[in-house]
Amino acid sequence: MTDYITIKGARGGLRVQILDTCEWSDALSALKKQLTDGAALLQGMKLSLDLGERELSTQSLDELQTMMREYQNAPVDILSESRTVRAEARTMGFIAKPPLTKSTAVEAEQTSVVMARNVRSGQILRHHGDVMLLGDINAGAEVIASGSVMVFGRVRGVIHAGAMGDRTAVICAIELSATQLRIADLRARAPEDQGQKIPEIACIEETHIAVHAWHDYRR
Amino acid sequence: MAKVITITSGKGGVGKTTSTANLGTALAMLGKKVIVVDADIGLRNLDVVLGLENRIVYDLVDVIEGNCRLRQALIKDKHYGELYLLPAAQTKDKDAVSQTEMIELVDQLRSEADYVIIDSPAGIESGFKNAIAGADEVIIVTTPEVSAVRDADRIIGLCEAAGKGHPKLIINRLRPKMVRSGEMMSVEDLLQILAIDLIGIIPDDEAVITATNRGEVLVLDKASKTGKYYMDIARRILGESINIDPIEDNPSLMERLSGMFQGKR
Repeated sequence: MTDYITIKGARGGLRVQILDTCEWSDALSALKKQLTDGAALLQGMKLSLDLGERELSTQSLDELQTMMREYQNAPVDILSESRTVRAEARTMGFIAKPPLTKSTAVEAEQTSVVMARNVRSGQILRHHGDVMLLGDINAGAEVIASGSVMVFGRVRGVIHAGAMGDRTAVICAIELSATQLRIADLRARAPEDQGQKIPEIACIEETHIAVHAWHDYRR
Repeated sequence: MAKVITITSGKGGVGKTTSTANLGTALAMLGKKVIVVDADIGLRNLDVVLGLENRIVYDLVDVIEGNCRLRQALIKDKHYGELYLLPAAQTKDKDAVSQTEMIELVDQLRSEADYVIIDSPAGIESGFKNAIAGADEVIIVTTPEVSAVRDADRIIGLCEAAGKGHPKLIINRLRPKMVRSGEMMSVEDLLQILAIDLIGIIPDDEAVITATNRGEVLVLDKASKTGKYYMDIARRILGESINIDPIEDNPSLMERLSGMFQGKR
């Protein structure tokens, strides 16, 4: 991840901090790369772009809006210290707010979450960080996380771990009969034969996703 | 005040309307005042299954648009005076009704009966949303097929998201023989995937087709096993605890023979 962009979990979405001391063009291209690499995770999430103290021309804001329209289908908010930038952003249809004060912004860079539920067909669970799920992921359901995904249950749907590009992320489950597994930029299909129903772990081994029996796995 | 139950499935053709007609009649046979509502606007057929098609004057959309009073639109059943049908509109579009209007209508119906059973259209769009909008409880019908189960799973998620709690499950068209030979998903497989409470199992029965064609429902036929299974579900809806026994049929001669050769039986 570049230094230009920092992504943090925020209530109901993600906060994307854009370094306010670098060239705007550098920041913009870094943001573009981040939006492309993390598309699976970011596209359905509500993003707040934190511009810090940077002053932006109408033209620059326009560029930003065009880019966000291209990559993002969920709402995007603008956070800025500058009153003029906020006013300008509002006229363009953004919701613009001052950044949260330091005292309320107690957000970890990545958070882990534990959920006790079943993810059913058509439901998509997105999270910035690791996910531990006590329940099943049914066929037709998707779990997308920037970290690892651990499932105490059966997986028949799709899991995407390391969705922001983290190739060290792993997927484990009590029963891993997933339709498809994705880690970072790689994907794997489950073998056609149903195989054994034992706890397994999937991780990247050099160029492909490998699945091991839980008791065979050595880090 | 009536209890409002919506019967839905996601996938079409799995037996929502048949189940609504049978459960509605069964509850009326058990002495309850019941209103069955056809919420499949534009594609009505609950009236056909109940054999009441020729008595329709006003429909659900007429009531909502104020063209008639609610009681004018309720059609009394042929067999049980305590069973009424509120038919769907045939000619209007399914967008003729909004969710708020549907909730208001359901609230009106509540004071008129003990049970209101709503037959939902297939799909997950506005028609489905209207059908569950006013429901206290949802019953999901599925058949032991992957596509039907997948849709049922999606519907359960949507019902939970709509704050309707955990729906109950009816497994329809089970063929014990195919389950035994491993060609069909078993009740256990289905429950493992869907993880909700079972309220009844209905076997695959050709008599359903002939009954539907005649505009009769199977629960009226005392000799029908399938009718009895529906009756059991109705009793469970009333709160009786009746065990859900596995559907048994008699293994065919060939099955018994091959069982003998394999050293079974």
